[in-house]
Amino acid sequence: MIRYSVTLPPRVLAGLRRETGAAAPAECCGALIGLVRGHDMEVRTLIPVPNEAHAAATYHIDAEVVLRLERQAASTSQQVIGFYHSHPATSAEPSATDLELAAPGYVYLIVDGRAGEIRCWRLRDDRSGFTELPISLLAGAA
Amino acid sequence: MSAFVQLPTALREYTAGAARIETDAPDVATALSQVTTRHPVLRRHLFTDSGELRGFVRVYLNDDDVRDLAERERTPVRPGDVILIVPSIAGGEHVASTFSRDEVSRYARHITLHEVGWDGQAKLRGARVAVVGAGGLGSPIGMYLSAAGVGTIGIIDFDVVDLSNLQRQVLYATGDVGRKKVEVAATRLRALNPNISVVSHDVRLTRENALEVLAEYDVVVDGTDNFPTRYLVNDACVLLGKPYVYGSILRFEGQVSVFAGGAGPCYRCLFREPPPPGLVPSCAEGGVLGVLPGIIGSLQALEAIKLILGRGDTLIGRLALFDALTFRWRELKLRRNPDCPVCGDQPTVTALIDYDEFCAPGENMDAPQPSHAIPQITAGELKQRLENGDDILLIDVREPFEWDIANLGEYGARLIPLDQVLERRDEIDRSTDVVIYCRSGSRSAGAIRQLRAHGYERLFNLRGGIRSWAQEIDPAMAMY
Repeated sequence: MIRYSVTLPPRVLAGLRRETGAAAPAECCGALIGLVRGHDMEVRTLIPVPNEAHAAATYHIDAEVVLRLERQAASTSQQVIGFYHSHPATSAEPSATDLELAAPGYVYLIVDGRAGEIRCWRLRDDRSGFTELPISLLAGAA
Repeated sequence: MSAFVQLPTALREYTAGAARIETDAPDVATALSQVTTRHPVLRRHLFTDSGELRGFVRVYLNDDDVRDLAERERTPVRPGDVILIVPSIAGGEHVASTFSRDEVSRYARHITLHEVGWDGQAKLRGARVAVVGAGGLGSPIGMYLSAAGVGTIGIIDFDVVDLSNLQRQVLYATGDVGRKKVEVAATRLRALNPNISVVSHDVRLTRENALEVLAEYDVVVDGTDNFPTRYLVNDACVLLGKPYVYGSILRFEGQVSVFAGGAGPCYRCLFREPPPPGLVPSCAEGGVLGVLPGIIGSLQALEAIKLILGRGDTLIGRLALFDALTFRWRELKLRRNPDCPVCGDQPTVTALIDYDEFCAPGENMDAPQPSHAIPQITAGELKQRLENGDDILLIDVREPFEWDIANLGEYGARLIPLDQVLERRDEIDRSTDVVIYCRSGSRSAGAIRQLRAHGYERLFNLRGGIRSWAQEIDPAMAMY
């Protein structure tokens, strides 16, 4: 089994909590941009995206925006590692909606809006559920 | 030269790292099918078992969303074309997971409706609605809002339940007579739906407290039956920018509309000034068919719910009129008046005013009496003067059926209904003190105004009408 790992610098962590608080009681969402070396992913930048949620979901980032983010990341030799969103009233585990609508390959960071807990997930290739990925924090100034 | 299918970096692990895959397919659908047949894990992610593209997958042909192209997925592919696969990212805390099992069962018939669904039910749960007046209109308004799962309902009323309320105020039972309406209403609404919170405001809404009380709510529903409160609620809603669901009833007729708190026409665009005091009787004076507030109040609840859901066409800009006797509905178009003193282009009313004075100039019973004001006499003072043997003529300006319920005939009172006062004024002696009364003091004030215009001077209004006599002097008197 492949072991993926995700590294977050403190400023990204602080940004995630700040965005979650500012959007509550709505969900916030955005992209995680950074570097990938083999199966190690290092998030460098958090890009908040306006939530365009519609009836089926409580956060939504349109493909047009994803395309722009992909091109933006590629222009700085980085890539879109994944996306984050908050769960204002439930835990940081993926919901049934998250599973139903999940895109493969990306990591999903979920912030528990109540406890502030942050967990990281990646869709399994049989789409049966998510595998949790360990998050390591990068030491250093925010 | 062939065409290519290009993948974002996150999907390249399913193509052994390849960013672009060559294809000689004639159209977009065939190209996707060809590429994913070569890479089965990618296929599982992009297509459902029945072969449909999954909801998150968006396909672009040379930067054009294929959904926007005439032939969509069947659009032909030419050499050098690039087919881009891009995911849209969605999900989130499913609203459903935040409802308890009991709530799901309770709201099942709502959730089934496409126009409500989980999101709509969550909006109702998050909504805060003020219900001004817990009477005939406030009863169905409160009950339907509570049943619908409106998360916070504020009930504003200062009255107690009276036996005469039970003919139409379905929130109350016979045993509730004498109890505070806000207390009984809150208990009843919580019993109907324990998932909501009911806030009791045991106050009379006034210019001093209205902005503070109503600011807490998203929608204001008016269930009151008097003009001062109606203008007060309207002006407060315009100043606060909150939608105001209006309803009124009298005898067999009802009205309902939605005033859009600054954005649409307001009550003052429709009625710039109140009618002269006494012209429009209250329900207590004019009567009301008990089921009518049930109909109009339910429609107010309906409009409040539509405002919360953001669904359907509300009554903003329309006034619906219902005649229960003939069963006819009429609808009037309302336009915002650019000269409206409250919501117009250059408003002159920018803070709440004295609405008692606005609706009945010179009759504010609590204010110091100016010289032109109508002299008042209290029930206690009247009783004292009658016992002293003072020469006082008592005139009752109510309707005969009201006289039959209770009257002051034993003190020589004479019945002259309001609409006969002028033609029968010769029956009223100008040389003696005359005390005029009605049920609560409003029609009698109107009668005094009319008589003064014909030179009568020694006229007194029985403050609070025969109701205050019943309360203070003769508790055995039948009251209504």
